Amino acid sequence: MVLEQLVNAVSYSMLLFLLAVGLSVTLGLLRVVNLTHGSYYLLGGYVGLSVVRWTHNFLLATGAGAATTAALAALMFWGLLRRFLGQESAQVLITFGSLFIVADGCLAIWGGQTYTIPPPPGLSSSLLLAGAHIPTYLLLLIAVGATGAAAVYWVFERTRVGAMVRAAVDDRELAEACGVDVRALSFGVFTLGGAIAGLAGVLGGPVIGVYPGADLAVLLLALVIVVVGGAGSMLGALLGSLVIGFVTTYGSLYFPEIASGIVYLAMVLVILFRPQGLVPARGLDQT
Amino acid sequence: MLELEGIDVFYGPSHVLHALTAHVEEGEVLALLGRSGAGKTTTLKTVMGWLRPRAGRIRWRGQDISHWESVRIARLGFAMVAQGRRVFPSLSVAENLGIALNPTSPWSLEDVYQLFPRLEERRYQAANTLSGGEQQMLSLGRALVRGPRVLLLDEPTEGMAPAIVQLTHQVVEMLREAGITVVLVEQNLAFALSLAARVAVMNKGQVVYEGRAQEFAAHRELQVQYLGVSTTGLRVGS
Repeated sequence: MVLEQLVNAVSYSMLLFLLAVGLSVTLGLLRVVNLTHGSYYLLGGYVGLSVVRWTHNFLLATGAGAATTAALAALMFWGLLRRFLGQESAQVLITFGSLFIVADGCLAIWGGQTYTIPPPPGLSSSLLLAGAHIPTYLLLLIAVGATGAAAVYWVFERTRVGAMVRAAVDDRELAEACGVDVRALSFGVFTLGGAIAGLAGVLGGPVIGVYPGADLAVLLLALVIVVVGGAGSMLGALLGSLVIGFVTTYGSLYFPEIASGIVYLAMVLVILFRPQGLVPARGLDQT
Repeated sequence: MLELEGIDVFYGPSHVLHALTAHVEEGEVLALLGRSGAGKTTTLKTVMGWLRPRAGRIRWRGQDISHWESVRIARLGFAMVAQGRRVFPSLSVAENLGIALNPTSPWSLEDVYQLFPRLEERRYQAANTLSGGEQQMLSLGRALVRGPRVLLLDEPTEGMAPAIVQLTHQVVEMLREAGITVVLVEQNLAFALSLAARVAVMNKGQVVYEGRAQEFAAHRELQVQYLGVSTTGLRVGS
Protein backbone atom coordinates (compact mmCIF):
# COMPACT_ATOMS: atom_id res chain seq x y z
CA MET A 1 0.00 0.00 0.00
CA VAL A 2 2.74 2.43 1.00
CA LEU A 3 4.88 1.52 -1.97
CA GLU A 4 1.93 1.62 -4.36
CA GLN A 5 1.02 5.14 -3.32
CA LEU A 6 4.63 6.24 -3.55
CA VAL A 7 4.90 4.91 -7.11
CA ASN A 8 1.61 6.62 -7.95
CA ALA A 9 2.81 9.93 -6.55
CA VAL A 10 6.25 9.84 -8.20
CA SER A 11 4.95 8.74 -11.61
CA TYR A 12 2.24 11.39 -11.54
CA SER A 13 4.82 14.02 -10.56
CA MET A 14 7.02 13.04 -13.50
CA LEU A 15 4.10 13.38 -15.87
CA LEU A 16 3.29 16.77 -14.40
CA PHE A 17 6.88 17.89 -14.83
CA LEU A 18 6.81 17.07 -18.55
CA LEU A 19 3.57 19.00 -18.74
CA ALA A 20 4.67 22.08 -16.84
CA VAL A 21 8.30 22.58 -17.80
CA GLY A 22 7.58 24.12 -21.20
CA LEU A 23 4.94 26.44 -19.75
CA SER A 24 7.31 27.63 -17.04
CA VAL A 25 10.22 28.43 -19.33
CA THR A 26 8.11 30.12 -22.02
CA LEU A 27 6.45 32.19 -19.30
CA GLY A 28 9.89 33.24 -18.09
CA LEU A 29 11.03 34.13 -21.61
CA LEU A 30 7.93 35.77 -23.06
CA ARG A 31 6.36 36.99 -19.79
CA VAL A 32 3.11 35.57 -21.13
CA VAL A 33 1.14 32.52 -20.03
CA ASN A 34 0.65 30.29 -23.04
CA LEU A 35 -2.99 29.28 -22.57
CA THR A 36 -2.68 26.84 -25.48
CA HIS A 37 -0.24 24.73 -23.48
CA GLY A 38 -2.96 22.34 -22.29
CA SER A 39 -4.10 21.94 -25.89
CA TYR A 40 -0.72 20.47 -26.80
CA TYR A 41 -1.32 17.82 -24.18
CA LEU A 42 -4.80 17.09 -25.59
CA LEU A 43 -3.74 17.03 -29.24
CA GLY A 44 -0.68 14.92 -28.44
CA GLY A 45 -2.92 12.44 -26.63
CA TYR A 46 -5.41 12.16 -29.52
CA VAL A 47 -2.70 11.78 -32.15
CA GLY A 48 -1.02 9.15 -29.98
CA LEU A 49 -4.35 7.35 -29.62
CA SER A 50 -4.90 7.18 -33.38
CA VAL A 51 -1.34 6.07 -34.08
CA VAL A 52 -1.59 3.31 -31.46
CA ARG A 53 -4.84 2.12 -33.04
CA TRP A 54 -3.39 2.03 -36.53
CA THR A 55 0.07 0.71 -35.82
CA HIS A 56 -0.08 -0.80 -32.32
CA ASN A 57 3.26 0.87 -31.80
CA PHE A 58 3.39 2.98 -28.62
CA LEU A 59 6.86 4.36 -29.30
CA LEU A 60 5.76 5.60 -32.71
CA ALA A 61 2.70 7.14 -31.05
CA THR A 62 4.82 9.18 -28.62
CA GLY A 63 6.99 10.40 -31.50
CA ALA A 64 3.95 11.32 -33.61
CA GLY A 65 2.23 13.08 -30.71
CA ALA A 66 5.30 15.13 -29.88
CA ALA A 67 6.01 15.97 -33.54
CA THR A 68 2.44 17.15 -34.14
CA THR A 69 2.38 19.47 -31.16
CA ALA A 70 5.91 20.72 -31.92
CA ALA A 71 4.66 21.66 -35.39
CA LEU A 72 1.58 23.36 -33.94
CA ALA A 73 3.67 25.30 -31.41
CA ALA A 74 6.17 26.33 -34.09
CA LEU A 75 3.35 27.48 -36.36
CA MET A 76 1.72 29.46 -33.55
CA PHE A 77 4.96 31.17 -32.64
CA TRP A 78 6.18 31.90 -36.14
CA GLY A 79 2.80 32.72 -37.61
CA LEU A 80 1.29 34.71 -34.76
CA LEU A 81 3.16 35.31 -31.52
CA ARG A 82 6.39 36.47 -33.16
CA ARG A 83 4.58 39.55 -34.43
CA PHE A 84 3.30 40.47 -30.98
CA LEU A 85 6.35 40.05 -28.76
CA GLY A 86 6.13 42.41 -25.82
CA GLN A 87 2.40 42.98 -26.37
CA GLU A 88 1.16 40.85 -23.56
CA SER A 89 -2.59 41.25 -23.89
CA ALA A 90 -2.44 40.45 -27.61
CA GLN A 91 -0.48 37.30 -26.85
CA VAL A 92 -2.90 36.19 -24.16
CA LEU A 93 -5.78 36.63 -26.62
CA ILE A 94 -3.95 34.67 -29.32
CA THR A 95 -3.18 31.74 -27.04
CA PHE A 96 -6.68 31.80 -25.53
CA GLY A 97 -8.29 31.77 -28.98
CA SER A 98 -6.01 28.97 -30.14
CA LEU A 99 -7.14 26.92 -27.15
CA PHE A 100 -10.73 26.94 -28.44
CA ILE A 101 -9.72 26.30 -32.04
CA VAL A 102 -7.67 23.25 -31.08
CA ALA A 103 -10.38 21.98 -28.71
CA ASP A 104 -13.10 22.26 -31.38
CA GLY A 105 -10.83 20.72 -33.99
CA CYS A 106 -10.18 17.75 -31.72
CA LEU A 107 -13.89 17.41 -30.95
CA ALA A 108 -14.68 17.34 -34.67
CA ILE A 109 -12.08 14.68 -35.39
CA TRP A 110 -12.16 12.44 -32.33
CA GLY A 111 -15.62 13.11 -30.90
CA GLY A 112 -16.70 13.56 -27.32
CA GLN A 113 -15.83 10.22 -25.74
CA THR A 114 -13.20 9.58 -23.11
CA TYR A 115 -10.44 7.35 -24.42
CA THR A 116 -7.68 5.54 -22.65
CA ILE A 117 -4.58 4.80 -24.68
CA PRO A 118 -3.63 1.14 -24.17
CA PRO A 119 -0.19 0.92 -22.62
CA PRO A 120 2.53 -0.73 -24.67
CA PRO A 121 2.29 -4.54 -24.72
CA GLY A 122 4.28 -6.06 -21.88
CA LEU A 123 3.66 -3.00 -19.72
CA SER A 124 -0.05 -3.51 -19.14
CA SER A 125 0.34 -5.85 -16.18
CA SER A 126 1.56 -5.29 -12.67
CA LEU A 127 4.63 -6.33 -10.84
CA LEU A 128 4.59 -7.87 -7.38
CA LEU A 129 7.16 -5.83 -5.50
CA ALA A 130 7.60 -6.25 -1.72
CA GLY A 131 4.00 -7.40 -1.44
CA ALA A 132 2.64 -4.52 -3.50
CA HIS A 133 1.12 -4.64 -6.96
CA ILE A 134 2.89 -2.02 -9.02
CA PRO A 135 1.57 -1.35 -12.54
CA THR A 136 4.61 -1.71 -14.78
CA TYR A 137 3.46 1.20 -16.92
CA LEU A 138 3.91 3.55 -13.99
CA LEU A 139 7.51 2.40 -13.66
CA LEU A 140 8.03 3.27 -17.33
CA LEU A 141 6.49 6.66 -16.69
CA ILE A 142 8.91 7.26 -13.84
CA ALA A 143 11.88 6.16 -15.95
CA VAL A 144 10.91 8.29 -18.96
CA GLY A 145 9.96 11.26 -16.80
CA ALA A 146 13.15 11.13 -14.76
CA THR A 147 15.30 10.75 -17.89
CA GLY A 148 13.47 13.59 -19.59
CA ALA A 149 13.77 15.80 -16.53
CA ALA A 150 17.50 15.05 -16.26
CA ALA A 151 18.03 15.79 -19.96
CA VAL A 152 16.11 19.07 -19.87
CA TYR A 153 17.83 20.05 -16.66
CA TRP A 154 21.24 19.32 -18.16
CA VAL A 155 20.58 21.41 -21.27
CA PHE A 156 19.16 24.26 -19.21
CA GLU A 157 21.82 24.36 -16.51
CA ARG A 158 24.96 23.04 -18.16
CA THR A 159 25.08 24.15 -21.78
CA ARG A 160 25.76 27.50 -23.45
CA VAL A 161 22.33 27.53 -25.07
CA GLY A 162 20.77 26.83 -21.67
CA ALA A 163 22.73 29.73 -20.18
CA MET A 164 21.44 31.95 -22.98
CA VAL A 165 17.86 30.98 -22.15
CA ARG A 166 18.43 31.72 -18.46
CA ALA A 167 20.06 35.03 -19.37
CA ALA A 168 17.09 35.99 -21.52
CA VAL A 169 14.72 35.07 -18.67
CA ASP A 170 16.79 37.23 -16.29
CA ASP A 171 17.13 40.28 -18.51
CA ARG A 172 15.94 40.17 -22.09
CA GLU A 173 17.36 43.57 -23.13
CA LEU A 174 20.78 42.86 -21.78
CA ALA A 175 20.86 39.39 -23.32
CA GLU A 176 20.22 40.96 -26.73
CA ALA A 177 22.96 43.53 -26.11
CA CYS A 178 25.26 40.55 -25.46
CA GLY A 179 24.46 39.21 -28.93
CA VAL A 180 21.86 36.61 -27.86
CA ASP A 181 19.07 36.27 -30.42
CA VAL A 182 16.22 36.09 -27.91
CA ARG A 183 13.55 35.77 -30.57
CA ALA A 184 15.14 32.70 -32.17
CA LEU A 185 15.74 31.28 -28.71
CA SER A 186 12.09 31.84 -27.76
CA PHE A 187 10.99 30.08 -30.92
CA GLY A 188 13.12 27.06 -30.05
CA VAL A 189 11.97 26.94 -26.45
CA PHE A 190 8.31 27.40 -27.41
CA THR A 191 8.50 24.58 -29.95
CA LEU A 192 10.36 22.25 -27.62
CA GLY A 193 7.92 23.02 -24.80
CA GLY A 194 5.05 22.14 -27.15
CA ALA A 195 6.75 18.87 -28.10
CA ILE A 196 7.27 17.87 -24.48
CA ALA A 197 3.65 18.68 -23.59
CA GLY A 198 2.49 16.57 -26.56
CA LEU A 199 4.71 13.74 -25.38
CA ALA A 200 3.12 14.09 -21.94
CA GLY A 201 -0.29 13.76 -23.63
CA VAL A 202 0.61 10.38 -25.10
CA LEU A 203 2.34 9.17 -21.94
CA GLY A 204 -0.57 10.34 -19.80
CA GLY A 205 -3.10 8.66 -22.12
CA PRO A 206 -3.03 5.27 -20.36
CA VAL A 207 -3.29 6.88 -16.90
CA ILE A 208 -5.33 10.08 -17.16
CA GLY A 209 -7.00 9.42 -20.48
CA VAL A 210 -7.84 11.70 -23.37
CA TYR A 211 -11.15 13.54 -23.36
CA PRO A 212 -12.66 16.91 -24.23
CA GLY A 213 -11.81 19.27 -21.41
CA ALA A 214 -8.52 17.59 -20.58
CA ASP A 215 -6.80 20.60 -22.13
CA LEU A 216 -8.23 22.98 -19.55
CA ALA A 217 -7.77 20.52 -16.69
CA VAL A 218 -4.06 20.06 -17.36
CA LEU A 219 -3.53 23.74 -18.17
CA LEU A 220 -4.85 24.58 -14.74
CA LEU A 221 -2.59 21.97 -13.12
CA ALA A 222 0.44 23.27 -15.04
CA LEU A 223 -0.36 26.82 -13.96
CA VAL A 224 -0.60 25.74 -10.34
CA ILE A 225 2.80 24.05 -10.69
CA VAL A 226 4.36 27.16 -12.19
CA VAL A 227 2.91 29.32 -9.41
CA VAL A 228 4.09 26.91 -6.72
CA GLY A 229 7.52 26.29 -8.23
CA GLY A 230 8.24 29.79 -9.54
CA ALA A 231 8.30 30.87 -13.19
CA GLY A 232 11.22 30.41 -15.51
CA SER A 233 13.18 27.95 -13.42
CA MET A 234 13.82 24.30 -14.09
CA LEU A 235 14.22 23.41 -10.44
CA GLY A 236 10.96 25.27 -9.73
CA ALA A 237 9.07 23.20 -12.31
CA LEU A 238 10.49 20.00 -10.83
CA LEU A 239 9.75 20.91 -7.22
CA GLY A 240 6.30 22.24 -8.09
CA SER A 241 5.49 19.00 -9.91
CA LEU A 242 6.61 16.91 -6.96
CA VAL A 243 4.58 19.01 -4.52
CA ILE A 244 1.42 18.84 -6.64
CA GLY A 245 1.96 15.17 -7.53
CA PHE A 246 2.31 14.14 -3.90
CA VAL A 247 -0.42 16.44 -2.61
CA THR A 248 -2.87 15.11 -5.21
CA THR A 249 -2.03 11.46 -4.60
CA TYR A 250 -2.00 11.53 -0.81
CA GLY A 251 -4.72 14.16 -0.59
CA SER A 252 -7.23 12.00 -2.44
CA LEU A 253 -6.21 9.08 -0.22
CA TYR A 254 -6.54 10.74 3.16
CA PHE A 255 -8.94 13.63 2.45
CA PRO A 256 -11.16 12.34 -0.36
CA GLU A 257 -13.90 14.90 0.46
CA ILE A 258 -11.70 17.83 -0.53
CA ALA A 259 -9.53 16.00 -3.05
CA SER A 260 -10.37 18.25 -5.97
CA GLY A 261 -9.54 21.43 -4.09
CA ILE A 262 -6.50 20.32 -2.18
CA VAL A 263 -4.08 21.31 -4.94
CA TYR A 264 -5.30 24.88 -4.75
CA LEU A 265 -5.02 24.82 -1.00
CA ALA A 266 -1.35 23.89 -1.42
CA MET A 267 -0.96 26.72 -3.91
CA VAL A 268 -2.52 29.25 -1.57
CA LEU A 269 -0.20 28.15 1.23
CA VAL A 270 2.85 28.60 -0.99
CA ILE A 271 1.65 32.02 -2.18
CA LEU A 272 1.11 33.13 1.42
CA PHE A 273 4.65 32.34 2.47
CA ARG A 274 6.60 32.57 -0.79
CA PRO A 275 4.66 34.72 -3.27
CA GLN A 276 7.36 34.36 -5.92
CA GLY A 277 7.20 30.53 -5.78
CA LEU A 278 9.57 28.02 -4.23
CA VAL A 279 12.55 28.57 -6.57
CA PRO A 280 11.88 31.29 -9.16
CA ALA A 281 14.45 32.33 -11.77
CA ARG A 282 16.67 34.85 -9.99
CA GLY A 283 16.06 37.64 -12.46
CA LEU A 284 12.31 37.39 -11.87
CA ASP A 285 12.80 37.42 -8.13
CA GLN A 286 12.56 41.17 -7.76
CA THR A 287 9.78 41.82 -10.27
CA MET B 1 31.49 57.83 -37.32
CA LEU B 2 28.39 57.36 -35.20
CA GLU B 3 25.81 60.00 -36.02
CA LEU B 4 22.56 60.84 -34.29
CA GLU B 5 20.39 63.18 -36.25
CA GLY B 6 17.14 64.72 -35.02
CA ILE B 7 16.29 61.89 -32.63
CA ASP B 8 12.91 62.01 -30.87
CA VAL B 9 12.28 59.46 -28.14
CA PHE B 10 9.22 59.08 -25.94
CA TYR B 11 8.57 57.10 -22.78
CA GLY B 12 4.84 56.62 -23.18
CA PRO B 13 3.47 60.16 -23.40
CA SER B 14 6.57 61.92 -22.11
CA HIS B 15 8.93 63.33 -24.68
CA VAL B 16 12.48 62.58 -23.50
CA LEU B 17 14.81 63.29 -26.43
CA HIS B 18 14.01 66.38 -28.49
CA ALA B 19 15.52 66.31 -31.97
CA LEU B 20 18.82 65.20 -30.47
CA THR B 21 21.74 65.62 -32.80
CA ALA B 22 25.25 64.47 -31.93
CA HIS B 23 28.15 62.57 -33.39
CA VAL B 24 31.05 60.45 -32.17
CA GLU B 25 34.22 60.09 -34.21
CA GLU B 26 35.57 56.60 -34.64
CA GLY B 27 38.17 55.74 -32.02
CA GLU B 28 37.41 58.69 -29.78
CA VAL B 29 36.13 58.76 -26.22
CA LEU B 30 33.14 61.07 -25.96
CA ALA B 31 31.96 62.11 -22.50
CA LEU B 32 28.22 62.60 -22.49
CA LEU B 33 27.51 64.93 -19.58
CA GLY B 34 24.50 66.65 -18.09
CA ARG B 35 22.34 66.83 -14.99
CA SER B 36 20.27 63.82 -14.09
CA GLY B 37 17.16 63.60 -16.20
CA ALA B 38 18.86 65.28 -19.16
CA GLY B 39 18.41 62.16 -21.31
CA LYS B 40 21.92 60.68 -21.28
CA THR B 41 20.88 57.13 -20.39
CA THR B 42 17.97 57.35 -22.83
CA THR B 43 20.43 58.28 -25.56
CA LEU B 44 22.58 55.21 -24.88
CA LYS B 45 19.50 52.95 -24.76
CA THR B 46 18.31 54.33 -28.07
CA VAL B 47 21.67 53.72 -29.74
CA MET B 48 21.66 50.14 -28.37
CA GLY B 49 18.21 49.54 -29.85
CA TRP B 50 16.45 49.20 -26.48
CA LEU B 51 14.29 52.19 -27.33
CA ARG B 52 12.93 53.09 -30.75
CA PRO B 53 13.28 56.67 -31.95
CA ARG B 54 9.98 58.06 -33.18
CA ALA B 55 11.82 60.36 -35.54
CA GLY B 56 15.40 60.90 -36.68
CA ARG B 57 18.28 58.74 -37.86
CA ILE B 58 21.12 56.86 -36.20
CA ARG B 59 23.95 56.06 -38.56
CA TRP B 60 27.08 54.01 -38.06
CA ARG B 61 29.68 54.35 -40.84
CA GLY B 62 26.92 55.80 -42.97
CA GLN B 63 24.53 52.87 -42.45
CA ASP B 64 21.11 53.65 -41.01
CA ILE B 65 20.62 51.49 -37.90
CA SER B 66 17.77 53.50 -36.34
CA HIS B 67 15.23 50.68 -36.52
CA TRP B 68 17.49 47.68 -36.13
CA GLU B 69 16.77 45.08 -33.47
CA SER B 70 19.04 45.29 -30.46
CA VAL B 71 20.67 41.92 -31.15
CA ARG B 72 21.58 43.03 -34.67
CA ILE B 73 23.13 46.23 -33.32
CA ALA B 74 25.07 44.13 -30.79
CA ARG B 75 26.34 41.88 -33.55
CA LEU B 76 27.38 44.91 -35.58
CA GLY B 77 29.83 45.68 -32.76
CA PHE B 78 27.98 47.71 -30.14
CA ALA B 79 28.31 46.76 -26.47
CA MET B 80 26.80 48.27 -23.36
CA VAL B 81 27.91 48.49 -19.75
CA ALA B 82 24.51 49.35 -18.34
CA GLN B 83 23.80 51.49 -15.33
CA GLY B 84 23.73 49.56 -12.08
CA ARG B 85 25.97 46.91 -13.63
CA ARG B 86 23.13 44.51 -14.57
CA VAL B 87 24.75 41.09 -14.48
CA PHE B 88 22.66 37.98 -15.18
CA PRO B 89 21.89 36.81 -11.62
CA SER B 90 20.96 33.21 -12.56
CA LEU B 91 24.25 32.69 -14.38
CA SER B 92 27.67 31.98 -12.98
CA VAL B 93 30.53 34.38 -13.64
CA ALA B 94 31.86 32.09 -16.38
CA GLU B 95 28.40 31.82 -17.98
CA ASN B 96 27.93 35.59 -17.91
CA LEU B 97 31.12 35.90 -19.94
CA GLY B 98 30.53 32.77 -22.01
CA ILE B 99 27.18 33.76 -23.52
CA ALA B 100 28.61 37.12 -24.56
CA LEU B 101 31.85 35.71 -25.95
CA ASN B 102 32.51 36.63 -29.55
CA PRO B 103 35.27 34.43 -31.02
CA THR B 104 36.62 37.32 -33.08
CA SER B 105 37.10 39.56 -30.03
CA PRO B 106 40.69 40.59 -29.37
CA TRP B 107 39.96 39.84 -25.68
CA SER B 108 39.51 36.20 -24.70
CA LEU B 109 38.11 34.83 -21.46
CA GLU B 110 41.71 34.32 -20.33
CA ASP B 111 42.48 37.98 -20.97
CA VAL B 112 39.50 39.01 -18.87
CA TYR B 113 40.53 36.68 -16.05
CA GLN B 114 44.04 38.08 -16.23
CA LEU B 115 42.71 41.61 -16.03
CA PHE B 116 40.34 40.73 -13.18
CA PRO B 117 41.81 37.80 -11.19
CA ARG B 118 38.88 38.10 -8.76
CA LEU B 119 36.53 36.93 -11.49
CA GLU B 120 38.60 33.84 -12.14
CA GLU B 121 38.54 32.97 -8.44
CA ARG B 122 34.75 33.26 -8.55
CA ARG B 123 34.12 31.86 -12.01
CA TYR B 124 31.66 29.17 -10.84
CA GLN B 125 29.87 31.44 -8.40
CA ALA B 126 26.41 32.83 -9.22
CA ALA B 127 26.76 36.43 -10.35
CA ASN B 128 24.23 37.71 -7.82
CA THR B 129 26.55 36.68 -4.98
CA LEU B 130 29.31 39.04 -6.18
CA SER B 131 30.06 42.36 -4.52
CA GLY B 132 29.24 45.57 -6.36
CA GLY B 133 32.84 46.00 -7.45
CA GLU B 134 33.05 42.45 -8.72
CA GLN B 135 29.82 42.89 -10.65
CA GLN B 136 31.36 45.96 -12.22
CA MET B 137 34.39 43.89 -13.28
CA LEU B 138 32.05 41.28 -14.72
CA SER B 139 30.07 43.89 -16.60
CA LEU B 140 33.28 45.35 -18.08
CA GLY B 141 34.67 41.90 -18.85
CA ARG B 142 31.47 40.94 -20.63
CA ALA B 143 31.78 44.02 -22.82
CA LEU B 144 35.42 43.19 -23.61
CA VAL B 145 34.69 39.63 -24.79
CA ARG B 146 32.11 41.08 -27.21
CA GLY B 147 35.06 42.67 -29.02
CA PRO B 148 33.14 45.92 -29.43
CA ARG B 149 33.75 48.60 -32.01
CA VAL B 150 31.60 50.97 -29.98
CA LEU B 151 31.27 50.71 -26.21
CA LEU B 152 28.48 52.51 -24.39
CA LEU B 153 29.32 53.04 -20.72
CA ASP B 154 26.54 54.24 -18.43
CA GLU B 155 27.85 55.74 -15.18
CA PRO B 156 30.50 53.09 -14.55
CA THR B 157 31.87 54.77 -11.41
CA GLU B 158 28.53 55.30 -9.67
CA GLY B 159 28.80 53.98 -6.12
CA MET B 160 32.19 52.38 -6.74
CA ALA B 161 35.14 52.33 -4.33
CA PRO B 162 38.25 54.27 -5.45
CA ALA B 163 40.13 51.09 -6.37
CA ILE B 164 37.35 50.02 -8.73
CA VAL B 165 37.13 53.52 -10.20
CA GLN B 166 40.87 53.28 -10.88
CA LEU B 167 40.44 49.86 -12.50
CA THR B 168 37.59 51.14 -14.68
CA HIS B 169 39.82 54.03 -15.72
CA GLN B 170 42.52 51.60 -16.82
CA VAL B 171 40.05 49.55 -18.86
CA VAL B 172 38.72 52.61 -20.69
CA GLU B 173 42.29 53.74 -21.36
CA MET B 174 43.06 50.30 -22.75
CA LEU B 175 40.02 50.49 -25.03
CA ARG B 176 40.98 53.96 -26.17
CA GLU B 177 44.47 52.75 -27.04
CA ALA B 178 42.94 49.85 -28.96
CA GLY B 179 41.03 52.40 -31.06
CA ILE B 180 37.59 51.48 -29.72
CA THR B 181 34.93 54.19 -29.89
CA VAL B 182 33.60 54.92 -26.40
CA VAL B 183 30.57 56.91 -25.30
CA LEU B 184 30.91 57.57 -21.58
CA VAL B 185 27.98 58.82 -19.54
CA GLU B 186 29.38 59.96 -16.22
CA GLN B 187 28.56 62.13 -13.22
CA ASN B 188 32.15 62.06 -12.02
CA LEU B 189 33.48 64.97 -14.03
CA ALA B 190 37.18 64.46 -13.22
CA PHE B 191 36.94 60.83 -14.28
CA ALA B 192 35.18 61.70 -17.54
CA LEU B 193 37.47 64.59 -18.47
CA SER B 194 40.62 62.57 -17.82
CA LEU B 195 39.53 60.03 -20.45
CA ALA B 196 37.53 61.92 -23.04
CA ALA B 197 38.76 63.79 -26.08
CA ARG B 198 35.48 65.59 -26.47
CA VAL B 199 32.45 66.35 -24.34
CA ALA B 200 28.80 66.77 -25.25
CA VAL B 201 26.54 68.27 -22.60
CA MET B 202 22.85 67.44 -22.64
CA ASN B 203 19.95 69.35 -21.17
CA LYS B 204 16.26 68.49 -21.53
CA GLY B 205 16.85 65.92 -24.23
CA GLN B 206 19.16 68.00 -26.42
CA VAL B 207 22.86 68.57 -26.82
CA VAL B 208 23.47 72.13 -25.64
CA TYR B 209 27.25 72.21 -25.73
CA GLU B 210 29.93 70.33 -27.64
CA GLY B 211 33.64 70.91 -27.37
CA ARG B 212 37.09 69.61 -26.58
CA ALA B 213 37.45 68.02 -23.17
CA GLN B 214 40.54 70.09 -22.43
CA GLU B 215 38.67 73.29 -23.06
CA PHE B 216 35.72 72.22 -20.95
CA ALA B 217 38.10 71.21 -18.15
CA ALA B 218 39.90 74.56 -18.29
CA HIS B 219 36.82 76.74 -18.13
CA ARG B 220 34.99 76.61 -14.83
CA GLU B 221 32.35 78.98 -16.11
CA LEU B 222 31.34 76.43 -18.78
CA GLN B 223 30.97 73.77 -16.10
CA VAL B 224 28.93 76.12 -13.94
CA GLN B 225 26.76 77.16 -16.85
CA TYR B 226 26.00 73.68 -18.18
CA LEU B 227 26.34 71.37 -15.19
CA GLY B 228 25.80 73.67 -12.25
CA VAL B 229 29.17 72.68 -10.80
CA SER B 230 29.58 75.70 -8.53
CA THR B 231 30.81 75.00 -5.06
CA THR B 232 32.33 71.51 -5.23
CA GLY B 233 34.14 71.96 -8.52
CA LEU B 234 35.82 68.89 -9.93
CA ARG B 235 35.18 65.79 -7.91
CA VAL B 236 38.35 63.77 -7.94
CA GLY B 237 38.40 60.02 -7.49
CA SER B 238 35.04 58.67 -6.47
